Amino acid sequence: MRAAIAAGLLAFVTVANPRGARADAVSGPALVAWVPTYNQEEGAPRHGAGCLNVPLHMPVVRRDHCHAPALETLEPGLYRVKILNGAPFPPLADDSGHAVFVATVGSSAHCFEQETSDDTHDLTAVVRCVSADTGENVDTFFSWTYRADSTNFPQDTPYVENFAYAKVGPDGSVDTAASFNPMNLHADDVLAERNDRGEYSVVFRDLNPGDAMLDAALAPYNVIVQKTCALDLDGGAEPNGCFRTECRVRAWSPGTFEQRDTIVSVTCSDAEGNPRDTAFRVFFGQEAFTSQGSWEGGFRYGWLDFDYPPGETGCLEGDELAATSQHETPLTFYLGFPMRACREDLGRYRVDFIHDAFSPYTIDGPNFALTAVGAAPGYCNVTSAECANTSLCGTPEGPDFTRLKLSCFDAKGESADTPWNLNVSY
Amino acid sequence: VEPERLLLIFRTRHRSAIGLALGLAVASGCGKARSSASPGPEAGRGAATSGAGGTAGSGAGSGGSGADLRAVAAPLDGFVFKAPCGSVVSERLCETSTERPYPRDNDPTLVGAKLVDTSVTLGGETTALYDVTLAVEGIVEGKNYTGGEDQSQAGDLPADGFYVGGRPGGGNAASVYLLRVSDPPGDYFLNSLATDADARLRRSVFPVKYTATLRAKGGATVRLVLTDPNAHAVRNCADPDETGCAPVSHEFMDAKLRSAAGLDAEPFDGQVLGLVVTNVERAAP
Repeated sequence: MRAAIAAGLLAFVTVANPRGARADAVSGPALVAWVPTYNQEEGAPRHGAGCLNVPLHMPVVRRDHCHAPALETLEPGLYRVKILNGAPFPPLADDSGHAVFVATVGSSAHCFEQETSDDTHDLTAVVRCVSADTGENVDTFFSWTYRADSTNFPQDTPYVENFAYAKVGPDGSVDTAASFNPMNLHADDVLAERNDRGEYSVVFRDLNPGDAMLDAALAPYNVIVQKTCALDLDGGAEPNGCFRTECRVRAWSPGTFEQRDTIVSVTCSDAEGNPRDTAFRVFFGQEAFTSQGSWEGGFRYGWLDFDYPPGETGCLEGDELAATSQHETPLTFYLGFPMRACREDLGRYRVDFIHDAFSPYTIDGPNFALTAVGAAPGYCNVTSAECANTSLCGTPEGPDFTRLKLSCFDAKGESADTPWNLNVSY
Repeated sequence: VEPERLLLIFRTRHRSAIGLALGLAVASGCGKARSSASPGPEAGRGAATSGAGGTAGSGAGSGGSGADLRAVAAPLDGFVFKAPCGSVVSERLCETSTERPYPRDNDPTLVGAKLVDTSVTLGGETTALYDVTLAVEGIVEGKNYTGGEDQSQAGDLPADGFYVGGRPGGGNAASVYLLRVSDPPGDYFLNSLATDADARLRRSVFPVKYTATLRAKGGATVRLVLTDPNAHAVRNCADPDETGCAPVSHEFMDAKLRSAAGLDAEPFDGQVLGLVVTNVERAAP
């Protein structure tokens, strides 16, 4: 059955993309790109970096494919990603936006967005990774993902109004060119406010199940927050500088039939755990950061919101776990495939996608965004990603399920328990 | 814009100067306009076909009297779109369908739960074109459309919600009221309620009452669709969109439509939109 699904998908992608099959990529209204640097060892199927768009649906002067991202190491721990024809769409009537998320893989380092810029045609992004305890640059693996949106230039499919994102400055101002809420019931549909030092609230207006396309059954949905150090390099790796600062979701309140707006509270803290005014990006959605699939349900993503009592070892699944996952999921799996998440040790977590249909095609297929949740300063990284032993990218000694392991840390980089939200697409 | 579409634009109540000029140009270029009262057998009786939801039109007609071609469009006469409320989820919102996940569709116009999806076949001579004029009346939520032509953006109430061609716009999950003609192919939307200054996209319904003309060949099918993208719609709550829910009276609607919709028989919470065929004329080919 899975082979048949894969064959069908392959055929679809081949038609949609004249350059060839991309069986391990999502499709949707956004231009999306990704760079996984983890799991690049020989011996297992890999797909590396990629970019997806539809040339015919690009602005007139850019009717070409976006090129696969080119990754360059500028110095240890400092990387540049360049995407030809990958710039954000032109801002027309505040209906466009773009966002970047970076997840550290395999270490306790901080990998983050240092710069994202463009010349209206090409995109240039700089990622820096620093040691959590010293702030020095360190080479480590990461997953970088990017999306650019415009309701004037939907790529594969029309927009489904079930997500939004924003970029907010240290003073609480909204960067409208980098923010996107597909709702159109109000002129200003993304609002933000700095409430105190390092404390913010972000409002996505009208994003609720009655006015938008959010499915109430999937509440509370998924929220990811990450700091950005763009234009905030002065303090650098100092304890109160941006490099080791982390921003997290303090709390969120998704829109409901009664509460029309979705509200996300954000807290940013420096390496000493002190509140720090810092720019950040926030994504809220029913699907994954780079999902929004094809007509036939070509979604391949998962998310979960994990909150387990500190110090206790055990798992959450079923109704205890706010989560969903899909892989061109049939209607019989409405609300998605089942998932399980466990706390294994202090700050150590495991996520199992416990349906064998949730199956990346390559060992580096998944790309991640994740965030710590709650009042306590901290952050979370991906420790490892493994394919199921029965999957196309699995090995006999691998786990029975597609499996991710996560690690969470306090402000100083020591292992610590914390609630977290994870978002993955492939 | 196709010549036939131009003629339709020309016939709208708020015709533009450009539309008028182009319409005249096309009409004069053809020079074969025929009398709408031409006798003959072309005004045969239409028929309702399979479908779901809605209240079927009367199907009545004279069956060929040259004096009244309305029989061509008899299946549309008295048709009522109804979106009755299921469970009330908030003061001004209700569930219209329990279908989950929300249905998608290859055609972006048809995305959502189909509260009404019925096709009818028009009568008439299969080689003839007809302009079917409808009185459209009811109480509905607004929806934005794009890529076509809005008949009116005046702010008067009852509103004029007729929109020709194009497709539903994004940015919300409001319901789509659609007439889809098979020949010549054309989409006609019925709840484009925006004014120049107000999109009228909120948790309010508005009374609508206007005249609209669609063009169809004899024997063409008309698909009548009411689709709700997120399976939730505005209850019968009048503007402004504030605390409370004061219903809009249905009294202004045609008695035939009220009767067909059952509005006089029992209290109705939800949206309703009916069609009355007021005139049918033969159109120049």
